[in-house]
Parts: sequence; structure tokens; C-alpha cells
Amino acid sequence: MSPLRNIDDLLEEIVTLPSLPSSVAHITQLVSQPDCSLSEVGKAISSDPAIALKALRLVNSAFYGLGQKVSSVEQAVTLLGLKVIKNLVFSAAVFETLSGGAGELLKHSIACGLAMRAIAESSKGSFPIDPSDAFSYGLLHDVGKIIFEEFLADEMHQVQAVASERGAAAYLVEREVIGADHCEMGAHLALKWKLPDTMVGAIGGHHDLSRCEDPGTRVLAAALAVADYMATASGLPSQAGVPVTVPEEMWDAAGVSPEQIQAALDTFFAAIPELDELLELAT
Amino acid sequence: MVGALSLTDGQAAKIVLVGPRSEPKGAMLVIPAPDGQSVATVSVGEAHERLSREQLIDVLCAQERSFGANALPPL
Repeated sequence: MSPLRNIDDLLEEIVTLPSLPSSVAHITQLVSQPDCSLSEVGKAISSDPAIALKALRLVNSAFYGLGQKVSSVEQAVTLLGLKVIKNLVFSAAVFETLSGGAGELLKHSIACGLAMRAIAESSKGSFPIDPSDAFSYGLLHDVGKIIFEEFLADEMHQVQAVASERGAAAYLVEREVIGADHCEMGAHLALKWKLPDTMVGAIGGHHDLSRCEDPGTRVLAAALAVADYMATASGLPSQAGVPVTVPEEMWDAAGVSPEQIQAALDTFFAAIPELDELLELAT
Repeated sequence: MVGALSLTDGQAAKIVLVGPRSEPKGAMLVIPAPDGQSVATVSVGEAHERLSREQLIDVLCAQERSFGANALPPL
């Protein structure tokens, strides 16, 4: 079963990583400028009709809970402000780019986004990132699996069968069968998309903390492992029948107390109704 | 709803779910005494340190699935 290849071989020969729409890089750059105007951002979003449409559908969803209908990109920008708009556009772009991805995996990814946001909120300001950014981390944590499902479907069936049979963690079986795990693949995609170093690191390390040196990144990677467990225990696994556990080292690094777990789950359960609406946006 | 689990100190116990998370006694641990002649009961909320954090998540999800309003999918 041992493959004679690694992540570089996979990227060179088998896997073509998708690109985010170029409009996203432009919008992200605009938002980061101190003198950026709301109307400039509105125009930049409107220049990409696919992203604009997804962004409008997202802003009118229960996920943003604005309580009023938003009918234009300019109105969305004015109501939400630049930081939230940046995350809105990013989520819309991810949904647009990954649409057509395996339904259960996408559902799990969105659930992890909601769980990660809930963990950030329960930390009451002591989390390294704010809740709206945390959603993006959860959304993308298993993006490497989505890539594997697209390009290595047969191998992924084998991984799932072997992991279920042995009661082994999927990422370890991926290393045996495929030559790399989904965390590595996801980190490469995040790098290609020029995402923040902490996101690249957290995605790469969410099953293996030895990949994270920076203390803030370790917290985020460990929190992703906790969010993954919360989503799975809630009946929203990435792969049915494949066990998920959180090593003690991850719990320690995440620093999530029992009281925070209860608070995070309260928030997460209340957000479950948003999940199907978001899934519709993503497919 | 009843299940068996092993506490963080290795002791076997049963978990009994009788109500939603909002009820202080909605999830109870039933712990046999060493002599096997009696049991002690304690609410999960008062015994966090006896459960692993994964077990706590499992219990709260089971409570939500059984008694909650948010329609968690089945496992």
C-alpha cells in the first residue's frame, strides 16, 4: 500500500490546485488600505458578478442575521463595514470555487466554521482571532480533503475503508495510501491563495501540532481539532464511520475549558439552522 | 437515555439523560460505590473534572439530539 510519492509529486503530477477569483485578491488589498472608501470596495465586488451574487445571498442569510433585506452590494458594504465585508467576500469566493464539492464534506466544513466561530466567541476576547475570521478557518480546515476527493477519489475510498476497519485516524491512513495527508494539501492551497500565515499553519497543523511553531498558530490549529470534534459529535462528520479524536496535547494547546465548551456548544447548536442555508449557497 | 462510560479516574459509570441542557439535572452520572452496594448520582454540570472534554461534548450533543430544539442529525 505504501506509495512512492509525496506532496510535491502529487502537486506536480496529479493535483491542480484551484485559484480563487482574482477579484478577491483585489478586494482584500483594497480593504487593507487605510484610506479605502466603501464605494471603491462596492465597485470591486460588483465587478465580479458571480462573487457579487453569492455575497448578496450570503448577506441576506440567517448567518449574518441583519433583519432587513439587502438588495445591493453597496448597501451590504455600508451596513457591514470593511472587516466583515472582507470575510463575506472570502466566504462567497470559497463557496463559488468549491461548489460541486462532495456534499457531506462541504456540510462538515461549514459546520466547523460555525463551531470555530462559537469557540472564538466563548473565549471572550482571549482568542488569537475574532469570530468572523474564525469562521473562515473552520470553513477551510478540510479543503485538502475536497482536493483529494476531486483528484484522488479511488484512493480516498480506500482511505475511508481502511480507516473505518482499523479505527484509525484518516490523516494517518492518507499518508500511507496517498503519500500526504489532507492537512498538508490544504496548507498548500492556502499558500497558493495567499492566505494569512496563521491560516496556512492552522490548516496544516490541525491534526499534527508538530507542524506549528508559532504559539498563536498552535492555538488555532488545536481549536480547529476541537471544532472538528464538535461537528462530528453533532452528527456532521467529514467521513461517516471514520473515528475522530482530539489528543491531550491538542486540548492543552486549545485551552478550552469545560465551561467554554458548554458556551461554545450553546452558540453552535443555535447556529445549526443556518447550516442548510449556507450549504445551499455553496452548491 | 442511558449509556456507559469510563471516568477520568478509570471508574466505570453510567450516564443518564433525562432532560435538556438547560436543566441542571438533565444529565446525571450514576457512579457505583466501591462495595457495589450503593450508587452516587451527580449532575454532569457538577462533575466536569470527572469527564474528558470529548465525553463532555458527546454528552451535551446527545442531550441536544434527544431534548433540544435544534434538530441535530442522527449519528
